[in-house]
Amino acid sequence: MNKMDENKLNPETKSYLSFVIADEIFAMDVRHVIKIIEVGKFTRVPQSPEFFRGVANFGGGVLPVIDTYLKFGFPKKENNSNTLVLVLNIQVAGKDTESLLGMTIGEAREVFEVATDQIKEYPATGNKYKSEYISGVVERGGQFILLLDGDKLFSGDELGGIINTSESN
Amino acid sequence: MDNLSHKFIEEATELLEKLENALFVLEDQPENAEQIDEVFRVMHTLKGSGAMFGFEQLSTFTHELESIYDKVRNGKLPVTKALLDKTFHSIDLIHSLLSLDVDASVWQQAKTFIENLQVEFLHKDIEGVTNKLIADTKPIQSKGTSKAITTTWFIHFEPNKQILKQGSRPLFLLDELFEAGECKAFLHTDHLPELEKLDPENAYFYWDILLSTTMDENHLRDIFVFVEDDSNLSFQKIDNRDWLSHPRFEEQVRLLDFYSFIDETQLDKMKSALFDTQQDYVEPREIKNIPGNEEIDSTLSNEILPEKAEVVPPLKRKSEQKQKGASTIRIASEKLDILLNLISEMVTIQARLEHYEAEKHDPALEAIVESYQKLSYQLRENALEMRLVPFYTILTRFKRLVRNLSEELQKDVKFVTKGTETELDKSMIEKLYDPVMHILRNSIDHGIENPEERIKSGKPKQGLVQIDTYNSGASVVIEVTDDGRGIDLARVREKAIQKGWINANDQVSETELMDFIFRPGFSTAQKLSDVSGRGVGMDVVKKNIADLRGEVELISKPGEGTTVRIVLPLTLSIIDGLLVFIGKTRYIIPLDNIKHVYEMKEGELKEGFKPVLVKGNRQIPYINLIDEFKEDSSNGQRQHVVVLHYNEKEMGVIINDIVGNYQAVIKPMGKFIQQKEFFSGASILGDGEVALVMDTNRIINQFINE
Repeated sequence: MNKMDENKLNPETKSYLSFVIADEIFAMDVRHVIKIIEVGKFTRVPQSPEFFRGVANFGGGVLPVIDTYLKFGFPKKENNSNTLVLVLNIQVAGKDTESLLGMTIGEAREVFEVATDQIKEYPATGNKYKSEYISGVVERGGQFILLLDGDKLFSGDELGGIINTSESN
Repeated sequence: MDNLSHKFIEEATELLEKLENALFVLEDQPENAEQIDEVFRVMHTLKGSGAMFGFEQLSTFTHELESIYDKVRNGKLPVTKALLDKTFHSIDLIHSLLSLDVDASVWQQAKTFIENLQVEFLHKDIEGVTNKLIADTKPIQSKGTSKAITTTWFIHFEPNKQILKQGSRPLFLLDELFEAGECKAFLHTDHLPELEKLDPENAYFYWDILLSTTMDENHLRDIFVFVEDDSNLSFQKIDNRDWLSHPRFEEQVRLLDFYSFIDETQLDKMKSALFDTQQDYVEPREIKNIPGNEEIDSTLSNEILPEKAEVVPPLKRKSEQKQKGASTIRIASEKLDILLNLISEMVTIQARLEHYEAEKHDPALEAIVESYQKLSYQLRENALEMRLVPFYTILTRFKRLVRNLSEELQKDVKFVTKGTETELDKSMIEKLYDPVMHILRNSIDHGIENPEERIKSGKPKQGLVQIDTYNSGASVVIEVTDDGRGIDLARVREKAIQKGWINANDQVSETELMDFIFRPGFSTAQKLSDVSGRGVGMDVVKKNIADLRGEVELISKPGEGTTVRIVLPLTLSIIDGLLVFIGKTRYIIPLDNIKHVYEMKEGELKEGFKPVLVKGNRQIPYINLIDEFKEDSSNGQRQHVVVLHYNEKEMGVIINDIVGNYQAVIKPMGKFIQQKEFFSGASILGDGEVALVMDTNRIINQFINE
């Protein structure tokens, strides 16, 4: 079901999956989410960017996985057990096709629906994260949840990080 | 109906290709009865099925040609250049008649052609009869039938000790022999050295083999074609009878103790024991043969042994006669794709099974896994082979091109092809046609000189254009060579200046000049000919080959000729690999590219401007993948050198431990990873982890060219 149909059926709400990375709560539009898996071992790909965690076996295929902690600039998470990986179906840069990509997460929270008019805009300045990767903010149970823009997050060439460097300087 | 006519056109096109092939052979060997038959058969089939599917004109046209070749077949008409020229021409006409709605003018043209043909050849026929009377007495049958006699061979096969290292497996060769007929092999182990002197990578065994087969010596030798040069191999036809089906064969084998050794005397004893005794058993076929008469009449034995006569040797071989004999079916290529996908899944499951088995140490399970491995290996080879098409399938069109071009440009060109049985994936071979075609055009148009010019420069009048095709490691190489004038670098330079690519006084190396040839818009021909000066140049060739992940290289010597070398990868989705550790991570190196594996010893590495590995008196450039992949190389973990080869280049890579052979199903790494220079894909291992597959050609090229 694509976005338009969804909006026609239920123009008021959208579904998100929320998860925790370090101490921040993020959420991803469920239409990108395929599955959450536990990965015991990654295979490192030499000479790839640091935030690239490696490849893992996903249903007999090869799944590239991003280390979200490094990408988002959080302190590296100590890995004592299996890693949770959110498997996403994401638009490939410059191409019309979608492809699978994994991102490591701390823990999965819940799937929730939110009325579109409850989504607030994420200000372009004065914030920790680059606004182009955050499609909005919702308040839920007294906590702010950052909605990640799945289409843009991993699309550009600048897989270099979503931390707003101009602000932190 | 529409669909049927479509099928017919498809088939007819294939038949015409066969026809062209046959004609080319006849050009060199006008007396080749088999090819004459082939021409006749094609005409006959076209006539028959043409009429059936409503291609009336085509049917009429080919009917007339068929009659002419019937005469040829019966020796009443010689194969002459004039006849071949006309037949070549007729192919074009047949193509134009391959339509349900033939244009009246086309048909008129075809009719005139046929009428002329009849006047020219059926008239000649009358004179020809007297000349060819002698030839007439020679009946047309012969071939094929003689093959059907079962003869018994004694084969001694002592492989070179290095055979395993060269990648050949003696047991596979024996397997092929076993398919060739009734076969009994006697293993000899007396060359096996004492344990401490034994090199486990050497082959110490040899075999004496008795084989009863309908194949002739050439076909038997074909089986050993890749090893016969360095093996001790002999074939001896010991009898024109079938020994191995003899009920007392096994008994005699034991009596004469063939297992320890076999010599002439023993073979003679065996022969008399089997056939000379008058007692109990007399072989049925022997009754009809006069005893002692070694020469068995071929037609007779054919009748006696109808079931043997129909046996088509189960070997795929280069020879074209063989190709004709085998029955074929057509199959949609998507079905082959599906089959290959299923096998890939199966190999992945197999890896899991092997992994499980390795943990269980259960002998029963081990036996099952082993049989399973063997089967799946054969299945896989079989499926991959189905997708492979020999290079000669596109050759006919090239032959035609060379023929036409040399006529058009009035150049005398001999076209030689070698290694045309080299096989490539079907999808690849189709995309090769245009680039190779273009290279050939260049060779004939720009490379080969006029006959006068050639004589002046002391070359034979006839120019040579040659296509060599061969396998090199995991690549297929196609070389187009001419002995023409070579590439005139001065003119290339002129052109580059003219195009503004370089300045008149720039220093430009030869290699750089050669590279200009691959630039769009380059053409050195002083006057545009309509043959090769069409604005498509080597840049297009390069692009087409690059699309196939291949490379093009130009080698030229002024006055001596030019070689264009195309190197293509064998992009197969399942490969044989060597599983190795670099640090704690496992990687797969394609086995085809591996020449040697050594354990590293101290002092073998010489660092320096160009680091080399010293092995005996050889120096091999190397790259330390442990460092390159940022693993710790100082922790005392064992290190090995894997020597890779590619064309004549060789290069070592330093890794840690060797795990062993591994069949790898190559999976794409996903679109998010830019195909890293070092890897061509990844594979799921038996324990579910992922291992990256190295792209050795790229590793070598990158480091050697630096």
